[in-house]
Amino acid sequence: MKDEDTKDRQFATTLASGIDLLLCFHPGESSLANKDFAQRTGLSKPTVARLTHTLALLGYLRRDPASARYRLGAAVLGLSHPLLASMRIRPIARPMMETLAREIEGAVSLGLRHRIHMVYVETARSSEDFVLTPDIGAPLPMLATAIGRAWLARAAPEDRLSVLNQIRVAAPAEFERHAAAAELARDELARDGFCSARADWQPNRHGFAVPLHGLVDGMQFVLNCAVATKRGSFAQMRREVAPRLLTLAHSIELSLGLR
Amino acid sequence: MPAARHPDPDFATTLQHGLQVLHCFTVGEPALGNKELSERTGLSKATISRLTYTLAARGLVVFDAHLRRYRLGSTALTIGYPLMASLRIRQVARGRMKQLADEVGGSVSLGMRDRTRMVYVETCRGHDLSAWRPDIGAAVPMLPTAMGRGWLAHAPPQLRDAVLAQIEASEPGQVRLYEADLVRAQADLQRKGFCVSRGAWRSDVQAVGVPIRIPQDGETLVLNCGVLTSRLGPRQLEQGVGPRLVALARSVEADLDAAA
Repeated sequence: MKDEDTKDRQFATTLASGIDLLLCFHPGESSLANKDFAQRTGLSKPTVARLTHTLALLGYLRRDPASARYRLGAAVLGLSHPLLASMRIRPIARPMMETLAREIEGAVSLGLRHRIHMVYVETARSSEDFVLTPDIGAPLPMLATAIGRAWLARAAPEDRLSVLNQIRVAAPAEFERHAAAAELARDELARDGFCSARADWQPNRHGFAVPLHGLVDGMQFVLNCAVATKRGSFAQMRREVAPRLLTLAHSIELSLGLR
Repeated sequence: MPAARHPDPDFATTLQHGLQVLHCFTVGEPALGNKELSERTGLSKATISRLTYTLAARGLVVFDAHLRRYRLGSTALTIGYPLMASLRIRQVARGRMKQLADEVGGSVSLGMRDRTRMVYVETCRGHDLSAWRPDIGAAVPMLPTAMGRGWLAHAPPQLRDAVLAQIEASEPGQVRLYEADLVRAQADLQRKGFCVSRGAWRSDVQAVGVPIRIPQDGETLVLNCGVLTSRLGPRQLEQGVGPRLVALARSVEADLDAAA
């Protein structure tokens, strides 16, 4: 619980605390006990117990009676569904993304910013190599990825600065290592219309990304693609693959009436 | 009703109300104002404005200044990800699900129970029908669907009865309505390895369901395969689609076993 929250009378503390419990889970961590929640949120154990009890009744947590630990419940997935299903860009982009993924033997994804991360809302994979491509909903770093760099390069200066500052505070190592490359990506976007990441995030993949021209339902979407480094040199992929992503972006923009 | 005290003293009503507000957003109504939220939940406008203010602080809703309404925010996308990531079966099964979906021209999905419904955790389409787009996070009822019947037919009797009692409590009469289908589902599962639903959920779709026998993240997940009735030949559901979904489930289980 942040200090400023409790001073604000408009703020519904119980609701915020309940949400904070759901946000305690990290990927790869399947269950937590009441004392874990208490440690991570700073809430008292009786408060945590009341909230986990309520969240379990509502399907957001599942309690394992044997261990008295909680797992996330399937009701959390219901929160993303109306958001994903009402994005009119997804069904339009999906078939075109699948075609490109096959042609470049890689993965093509569509994402947007979530605080200091990027998150995919749609992804198309060509081959077994890309089965483990980040999933819909997975938070991805911004500075090391083409998709994050493209978002930053397109953002209004005040938004870019604000996000960069948040990254500097929350992820200093990421900032130190990749801030310069992310800065160069702005020139790249201005010059070539796309941003790239040369095996910066995942060592065996090159990434390219194009921010869509204009907002869709108030959201800035970014298209990206990933190709395996074994397919060719970075320079070659940059020459052959990135322009096709630009063409894809253009077709999606035309279908949505953005151009 | 919202004004009434919850009978359970340990129940955090404000938390429930906040989550209730989130559930007002649907595919058909992705943007709602405080007034509409108040109408849909029966909560006062003052309460709603506190709840939306708090939900916005956590990124679960965002205010669309252009529409002067709230929409679901990006936290709604990421909040379920740790659960998705703990279901490794999704990655194991995905390629095979897509292949079967393409071969039968239908949809193949994997679902997990949420109290009295099944929620899709993975879905693959082998058709291009815009009116029928199962998606991750979508919930379907249990009794009319092959997926729900697969779960009920596979569950140990005590757990099944507890879930049926919950369904009966929220929708009186439903259990009796589907009694014969449930008996049949259990017989089908035992004899053939799959359960069926012929248009009981979506009138134009027929489906088969197969439970995964190895629990995932502590739960029994169920695979289904749905095909438009108009695209099905006679007996194709029982003789073609059903056995292939069973084979898919068994091969996924074998890979999960090998990796364990």
